Amino acid sequence: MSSFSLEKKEDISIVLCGAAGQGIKTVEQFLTHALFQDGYNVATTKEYMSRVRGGTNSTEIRISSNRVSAFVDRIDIFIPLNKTAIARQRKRITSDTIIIGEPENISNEIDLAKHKVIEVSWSKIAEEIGNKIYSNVIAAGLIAELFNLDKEIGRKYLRDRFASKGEEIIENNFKAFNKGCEIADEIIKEKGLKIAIKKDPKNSKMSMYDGASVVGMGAIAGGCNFICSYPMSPSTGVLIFLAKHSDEFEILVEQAEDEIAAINAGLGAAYAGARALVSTSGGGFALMGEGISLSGMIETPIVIHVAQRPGPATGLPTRTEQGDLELVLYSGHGDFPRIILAPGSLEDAFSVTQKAFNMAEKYQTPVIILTDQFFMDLYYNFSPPDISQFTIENTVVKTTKDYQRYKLTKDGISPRGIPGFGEGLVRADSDEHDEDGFITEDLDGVRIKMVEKRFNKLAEITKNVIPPDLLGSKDYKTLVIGWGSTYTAIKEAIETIGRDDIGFLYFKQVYPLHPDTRKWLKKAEKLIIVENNVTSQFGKLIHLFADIKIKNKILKFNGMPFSVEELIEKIKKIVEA
Amino acid sequence: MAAKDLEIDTSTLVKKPKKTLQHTHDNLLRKIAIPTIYCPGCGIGTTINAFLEAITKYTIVPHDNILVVSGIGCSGRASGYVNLDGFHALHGRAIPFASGVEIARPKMKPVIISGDGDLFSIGLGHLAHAARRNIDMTVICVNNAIYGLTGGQDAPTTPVGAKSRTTPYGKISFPFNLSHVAIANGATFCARYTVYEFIQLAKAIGRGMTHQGFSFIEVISNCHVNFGRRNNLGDSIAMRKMFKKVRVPMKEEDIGLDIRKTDIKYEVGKGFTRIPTGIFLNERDKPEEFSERIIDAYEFNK
Repeated sequence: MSSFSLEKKEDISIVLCGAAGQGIKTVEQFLTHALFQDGYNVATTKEYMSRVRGGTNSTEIRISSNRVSAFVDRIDIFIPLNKTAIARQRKRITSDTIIIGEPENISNEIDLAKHKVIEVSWSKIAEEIGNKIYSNVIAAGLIAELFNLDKEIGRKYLRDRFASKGEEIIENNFKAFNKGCEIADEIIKEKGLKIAIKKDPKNSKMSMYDGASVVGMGAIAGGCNFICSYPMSPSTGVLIFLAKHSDEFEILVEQAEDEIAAINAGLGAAYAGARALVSTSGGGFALMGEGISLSGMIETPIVIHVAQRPGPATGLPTRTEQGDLELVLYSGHGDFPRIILAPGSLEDAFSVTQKAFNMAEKYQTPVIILTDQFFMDLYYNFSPPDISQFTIENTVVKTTKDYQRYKLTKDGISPRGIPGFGEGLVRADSDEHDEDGFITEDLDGVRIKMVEKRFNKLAEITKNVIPPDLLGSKDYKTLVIGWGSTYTAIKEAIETIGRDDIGFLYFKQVYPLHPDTRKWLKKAEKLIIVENNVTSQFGKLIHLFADIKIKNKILKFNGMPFSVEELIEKIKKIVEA
Repeated sequence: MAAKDLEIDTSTLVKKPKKTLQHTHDNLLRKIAIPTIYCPGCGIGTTINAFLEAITKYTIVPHDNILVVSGIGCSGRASGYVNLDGFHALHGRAIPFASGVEIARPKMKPVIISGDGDLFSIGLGHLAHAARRNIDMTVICVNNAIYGLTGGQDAPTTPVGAKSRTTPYGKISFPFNLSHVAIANGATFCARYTVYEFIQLAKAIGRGMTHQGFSFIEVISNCHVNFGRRNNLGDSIAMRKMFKKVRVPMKEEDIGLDIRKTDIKYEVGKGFTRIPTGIFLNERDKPEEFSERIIDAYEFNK
């Protein structure tokens, strides 16, 4: 049996695994927030089943000396909370994995002689404290002590977390926490389980929120004051976040009866001057198709957040995929310009969402933000954005008596009036219309002019595309291309490979493409595209709009995000071929 | 899902019983899918059980003619737990799918088991029109006043003032009276029972299935995890005791034309204070159900 010490590791991955309702979330939130406040770099990801109770879910918490933010397959410390936990994660458990948990959750599943096992009967200890329910806090205390967490931070977190439950419950949680610490001290002494991850007090000054909250914050920073949505995993977090903060930021929140109502109410609000957001997932977006088209026709700004999950149909409701790019690119009948954004880091989730509202307002067209389940549930410490660099650009004009909503202009953008503000009338029509917004059948005069007007806006949009970030080598021979949530894993994989001839081009606006896309891609000898879908939808988009066919594709579509390890292996194989 | 994942983990049983436990309707359950995803104490289990009781004891419809169509949500899993023909539909679309089946094969009796969100929010339009057409199907709507599976969002049945994750300051808008909506749109049989009233519920489902035309059964159920907990209504047993206390048995003749008499009442802090239950409508002399009318129309044209 080799040593239990993790002293040499700069990055430790802890995986908690158990049934929904068992309290994984309590342990996850305790460790993530307390260790973060203590100055550690923390990154948390999760995967879960579509059910309220039971099943087998898992959370991965990475604590590292240098900041990381991706999902890894490797498990350094595994905490099985039920009997199916080990079976579910077996592929990821190696002889190096330290398994800490109840004997009955471990002994039947693995060969104790071949694994590093530390048996702790926390439910028994918890019962001594008063209730089995405290076993999670014992586990949390144990892990916290391994990382030498400042006990005051731990206690403060527990006090805040259980404040509403009364003194006795808080005291019992303290007892459980202390008990966990005592067990950890014994483990450190007896097994030599040492951890030497570096802390930095600066880390605790950073932000620690999940993707759903950051998209919500970006929306608030973008001036969002109206959200009408229908719950659909995994997008609902944004609706919940904005509902929770609706009082503070004066946001109108109404849960619609379905997605068709949501998008139409959003468009109605935007027509009246609100900065509207609609949050949904692929299936809901499919229902919105007609509304997206309406937005294109009546040139009313709308931001639609689409958190992707694997389809077709109901698919895998709580899993991740990047399979809806083509849906959002082609959704809606008829031709009209649109913008598609896809942030991959939490920093970008804030800035891109903020910008989305200004873009929608400026170009009077639908703007779609693509995220996914992995990204919604991802959280890590990041530098809070400098709020002063963001402005809310409002294009609404006070109308005059002769106001025309669809006035023909050089760039196709008509001054945007709203009803009740100024002397003019604001008329809109889902039929083809003239400059006044009245229905028309004037084919050779008005129709052609209006189609051209709407498409002139696309040329304007193309002038102001958010450029992709080039990471890794500026002098690349191989260029890896990614978009959206694959960013964190690709970035870490390229850094770990450490070659000076690999670049990584990360797109946060996927449509329209940046005009220099072809130039950047042409420079590479080898192109690799990484996507969480089966047909390389972004590869097809690049082929269509930049006329470059990417041969090397790394695709994953089992409902899980890319791990750093598999990307390292696959990218290396292609580079070295 | 791999077959292994679906195997029953018998090691989780506290005491291994000598005899295998038998469910009353063991032959009608799809054992490979058990245990269900339902939280302990959930009312959907009671509803499925009442449905099985109904098709065993209280209806003349042969099992081979029954098609269970379920929507999206916890109750949507129902079609996967019973050994009958079944389809797990898109969100909100169980009824139009079942309508297609019923029109194409009139001898089939579609039974829709779904939730208040699926049937009355995203699926309301379909419910209204299936009721209007008087399509021969039975809709069993599990009304737990919340979106349970997705973590407790506002439903069209969430009472005023109640808290959900999307109404953290308390619900503002008014809830539907589901039975009222069904009757107003043309349902020809309508009943409501709480999960506390198991036998009455099973009998009502049976009568609804025997009825020729659109029958609607509203089941007032407890989502103690995502509704009860957030609104201090206690656990499953506490909620069922509440149902027992506040149910008001009603008959068709008590209601007459004023279907508002069936309104459910709720007070913040107290929970439900009045739940009228019973068979609210049983229109025996309504014109034939839709498939019959289609057949008549075609024959007439010949």
